[in-house]
Amino acid sequence: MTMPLLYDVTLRDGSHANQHSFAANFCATYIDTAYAAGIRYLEVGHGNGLGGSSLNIGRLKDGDLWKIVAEKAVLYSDLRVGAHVIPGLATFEDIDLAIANGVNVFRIASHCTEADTTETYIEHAAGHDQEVWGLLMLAHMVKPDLLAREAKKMESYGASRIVFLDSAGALTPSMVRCITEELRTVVEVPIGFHAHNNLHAAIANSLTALAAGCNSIDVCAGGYGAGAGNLSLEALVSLLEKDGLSTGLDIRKIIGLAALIEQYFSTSLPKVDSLSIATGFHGVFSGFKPKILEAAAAFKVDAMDIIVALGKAQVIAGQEDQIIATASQLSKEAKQS
Amino acid sequence: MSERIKRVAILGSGNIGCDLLVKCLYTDGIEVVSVAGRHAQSKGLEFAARRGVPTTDRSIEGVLEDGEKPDILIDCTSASHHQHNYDLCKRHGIRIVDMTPAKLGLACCPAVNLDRCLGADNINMISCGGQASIPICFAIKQANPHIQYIEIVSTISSASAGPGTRKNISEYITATQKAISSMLNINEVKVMINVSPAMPPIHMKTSILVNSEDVASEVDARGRIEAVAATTRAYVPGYHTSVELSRLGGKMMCQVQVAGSGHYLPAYAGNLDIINCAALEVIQRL
Repeated sequence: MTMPLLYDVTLRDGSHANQHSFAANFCATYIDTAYAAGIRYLEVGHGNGLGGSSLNIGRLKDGDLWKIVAEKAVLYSDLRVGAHVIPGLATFEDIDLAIANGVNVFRIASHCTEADTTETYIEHAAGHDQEVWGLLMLAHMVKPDLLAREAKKMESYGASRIVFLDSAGALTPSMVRCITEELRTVVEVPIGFHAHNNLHAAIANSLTALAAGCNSIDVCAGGYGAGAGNLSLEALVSLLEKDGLSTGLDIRKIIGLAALIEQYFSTSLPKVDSLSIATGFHGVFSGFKPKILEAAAAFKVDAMDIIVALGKAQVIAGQEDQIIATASQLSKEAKQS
Repeated sequence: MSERIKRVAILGSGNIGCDLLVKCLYTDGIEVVSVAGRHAQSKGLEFAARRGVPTTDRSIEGVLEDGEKPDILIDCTSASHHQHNYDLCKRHGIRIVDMTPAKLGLACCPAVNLDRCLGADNINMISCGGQASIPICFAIKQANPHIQYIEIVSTISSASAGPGTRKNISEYITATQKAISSMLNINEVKVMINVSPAMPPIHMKTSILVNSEDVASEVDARGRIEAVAATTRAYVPGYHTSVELSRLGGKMMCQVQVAGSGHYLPAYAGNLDIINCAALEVIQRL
């Protein structure tokens, strides 16, 4: 195995864990520490990326994040700063603003069956000479051959890498192997994987993805991300080093990044609990967790019933309003019976 | 409403154009004189020809070649083609009803500002999400004139989203934001759209969210929302509130669902239905 590209999504996926409240000065400290540890790709922003800040999903608390990004992008000329872009939330103007602030990697994401919504966005970012990746979210919801067909579309639009996201932490290692192998057969550009830990499988799935031929992995310090969290950066690096792979990273400083997260976010550290198991089993987007709890309390219904209903209705990321609609409906049904 | 038969040309033979054709054929007082596309083999042109409607594969140029010009041209192409179509219509004295998010015409939502639009030479139908949300936004704004932020989230089924829709997402967002903001004088409008692959396909849903502190009276707002929903239902039969205005901490949300009439695509395509029903309402009044 060669050294995979580690893409640090802590300052983006971690936003889900703290209700999109990263402070600009914390981000500055994090970026400095990560850079010193050897991280060269990292992503910043709202949990749902550009244009995600909303009442529906959660408002971004600190509007100064971009100032910090702009500053660090100048300071560290070999640091690649990424933004997550979901067509439907973000606009071309959002991409232009991010470029002006030093972002130079655009990860254009769609639900795993809707790659053609990314066409004009990929072309827009690529047209500004940016590095553009194609991301397929909630990859558990479709068979590997159909996923590969969507990946192929993104490749044809100009994506230089395809990442499949286990956004609900619902994949097993054998599923990850099948998907990776299928993608490698169909797609010529490199493949990456993004794990969630709902079923405690982030590490197992990521190691399987690497063994099967993925060569980039999304990581979070302390696993700090949506729902039960993501793949823990420090655990992956430790495992790779122990297996004799020289990562070139400063392991002490990498562990220090996790310590930084523990210090600042002691009340929102991710854990695998009953709700995350339920979302993983029913294939419900990890980022929904706080919204499910909020709606369950407001409409006095069982969070577990909401999860089962959302899974059955095949609700996707961005449909946070449907959590409220589902809770409202369950509450109506309870009153009628 | 004038007694004279209105001569209408439909430019664009995709989902929007075909559904509008069916609606026009069902409506008294409207004659479809031409359906125009760009490809002779297009499914839409064949669909129109089978219904005995004259067709052309030479787009707007084909429509204008005919001796007798239409009174109204409905532009179902895309935002980038609209300026050209508008220029030609202006030169020939043809009124244009624009179904694209081009932002050139006067933005119209029949439940809110139909009367004020009737004199315009270019009437813009905004977007499906705009047509679904503007009546509700209008009701909330009326009850709370100082409101400065409103948000709308629409989810449409993947099966109802044609290639034009998928290529125009950024334009859809900015056009819908601009139309709501200027029509209702609301400072900040946030627009989002999801394409849902759920099977069987879901009906179109649009949620409207506001800050709780901006709403003086929930009961009053609910009453006004139901009233405007009834007004909208008069021209969009499948329009109803699916979640009544509810408070969740700092935010309030209500949701409308739109079932389509099933004219061209099945009932799940409420997004297609609502913008076309709105356009038909305008055309009948012109």
